[in-house]
Amino acid sequence: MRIALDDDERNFRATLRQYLDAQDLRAVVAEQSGLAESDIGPEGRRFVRRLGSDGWLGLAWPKELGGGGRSRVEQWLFVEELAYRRLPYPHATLMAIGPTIASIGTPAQRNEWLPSILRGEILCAIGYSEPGAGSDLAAISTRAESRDSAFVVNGHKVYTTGAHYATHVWLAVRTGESSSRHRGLSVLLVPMTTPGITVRPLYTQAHKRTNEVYFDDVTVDRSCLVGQINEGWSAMMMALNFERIQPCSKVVRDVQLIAQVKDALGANQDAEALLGECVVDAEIARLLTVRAALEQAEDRLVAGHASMAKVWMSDARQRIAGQALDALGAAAAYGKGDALAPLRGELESLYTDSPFMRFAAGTNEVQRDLIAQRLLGLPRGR
Amino acid sequence: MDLRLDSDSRDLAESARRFLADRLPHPRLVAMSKAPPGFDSDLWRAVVDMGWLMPCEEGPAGIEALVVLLHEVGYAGAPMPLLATVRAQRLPVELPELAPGAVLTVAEASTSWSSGGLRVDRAAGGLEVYGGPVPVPWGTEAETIMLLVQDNDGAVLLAVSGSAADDGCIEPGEPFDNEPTSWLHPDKLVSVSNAMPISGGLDRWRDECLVLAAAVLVGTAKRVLELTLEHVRLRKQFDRFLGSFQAVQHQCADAAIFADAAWLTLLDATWRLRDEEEAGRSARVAAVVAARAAEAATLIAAQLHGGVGHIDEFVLPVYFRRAKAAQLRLGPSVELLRDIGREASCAPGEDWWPE
Repeated sequence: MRIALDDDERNFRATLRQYLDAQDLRAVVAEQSGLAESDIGPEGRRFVRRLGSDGWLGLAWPKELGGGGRSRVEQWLFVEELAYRRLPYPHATLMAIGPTIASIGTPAQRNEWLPSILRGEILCAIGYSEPGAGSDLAAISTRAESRDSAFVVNGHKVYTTGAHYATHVWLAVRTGESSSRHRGLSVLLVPMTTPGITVRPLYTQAHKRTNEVYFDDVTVDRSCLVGQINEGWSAMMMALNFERIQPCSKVVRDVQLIAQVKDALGANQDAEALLGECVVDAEIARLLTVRAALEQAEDRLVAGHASMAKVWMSDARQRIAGQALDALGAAAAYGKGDALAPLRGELESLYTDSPFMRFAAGTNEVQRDLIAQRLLGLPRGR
Repeated sequence: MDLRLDSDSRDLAESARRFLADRLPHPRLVAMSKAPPGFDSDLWRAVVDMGWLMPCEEGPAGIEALVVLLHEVGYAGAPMPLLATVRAQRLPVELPELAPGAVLTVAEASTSWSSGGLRVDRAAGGLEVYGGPVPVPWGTEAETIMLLVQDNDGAVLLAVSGSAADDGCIEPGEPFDNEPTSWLHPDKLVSVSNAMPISGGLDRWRDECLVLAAAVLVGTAKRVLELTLEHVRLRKQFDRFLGSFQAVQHQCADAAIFADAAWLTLLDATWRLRDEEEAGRSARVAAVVAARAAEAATLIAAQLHGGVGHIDEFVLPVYFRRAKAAQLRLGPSVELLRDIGREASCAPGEDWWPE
């Protein structure tokens, strides 16, 4: 029984740190601070391609698929380290979409897409949410009609972060009857250059870009269907499970940011107690995340554990930002654009962004339902 | 990396759980809570015979076994002086020769509400203690009370014999839970000739005490959550099981998240104490989270049980009172939080994850 890293894991992390320390990544970090956490800017995309060419993408993918053949614990350490340094990483593409293609894709799909994903050349946006399908993804209405050797897609997706630069969209479409719920959904990997796709920007209250995407008679070759027709639900859920386990180093960074509040206020018992609360919150987030990540890495994820990590992490980050702003008072009412704003306005940004964390990747209400029903064994409501 | 107990610890936990469930079924717990809280000497002798005090002799490694056992004590809601005795045994001094299985306890001025009033006068060439009274868990039952006094000149330990009760130094108290707790009046002590200065190790001892107390609270939180789940799975209102209402499910989910958080922070602190000199902030974090988890579990349990959980013929009030009283005995949580906050650093690159 142990909690510490073993020697191999420590050596791996030391090598990774050496690699990252040797690069000047200030422009990537600066760019990232203005983006949604799952978004990647032009500097970031160059960085991701460099990671790919240096062999750092797909660390835990099997060697026969071109991956690094390393353990998933090491993969998780890699993701944590990047998040800690505020460096971008194509989380969904590498952690969920690639492995799903490897698992249920055709040989042709694996040959075509996986090498490009590992080089950082394919970046996918997730096309799930719609105006009428948020928490209830089984209500998706974007349709893919089968015509000859192709599908014709019509519909409207929202909150499609990264769609304005993504090479592909991992698109959930209805291929069954309109009343078929989750049994009539399929997944297509659609090139964003396909005619008929229109991307329109949406900006969040934290001034971060996401998108809505319109599909008007978009003809998608049948070879883009991933898995069997009408059996896309489990592939969709795989991507969501990975989204729920966010790197816990983010909340560690939050606390380090908040520690500057203590410095700003001087020796002050109230500030110390406030920071103590933040550390407790962060420690819980860290340990719930470590547990879920380890279970997932070892293929023994207990139902509800990813949800616990997600609920606490997102609630905690909101509490931490709100409490720290409160401690600073009126001076904290200036945002990121103000040169005199305390902590460069980063607290305001974290706070304004925090509702998103609580409703994204399955709302915290849905997560609590999952914990109650799948982990605690309580009956479903009728 | 792993976040689970090994098979030895799991076996120890299972046997302790079976033993305590057998000895302390809920009707007995309830009955014990109504009578003046007392000392079950048969239960204590059995615990001693099973070697529950033995892990202390194994040095730092024994901390894990103690955490496992105290977690089960909390789970069972068992009134017994295991935590009190172990705290005394682990003091960083050589204790006087004592009978095997003797009940011990520590009265610590710094955690009492009267901490400001207690002081030591060394000026007269001797040592006089003023102030108090000081709370003493299991003070009336203890063979020896270790009175820990700390001031600017250092820490001193005074061994007070249980017979001091005859001099009026120890007065039975009326705690609101089922853990007998007394008052110690230092100013009535006749003799303090056996004063032992403590030169070091007190910080670690305090960390150990926090973690051991946290173990009891985490066990409490887990058992109360189980009782609640059993209730909402069976109880029907509006022709539906209570547990099928989303509002009920979400409260149960929150209690479960808190209980898991408390368990994980407890393991983290325990393993740090086992493997390292200092537990760092992890002991304080474990104490804060355990106290909150136990409180959350009992408050949610009380709400979801409704009237039946509020009646003292039922076992829930036993746990309800134990959770709050045990939390209070940790000292004010704001002091723990300030300690945690004082140590936290904003140094860029500080490497405090994910070991």
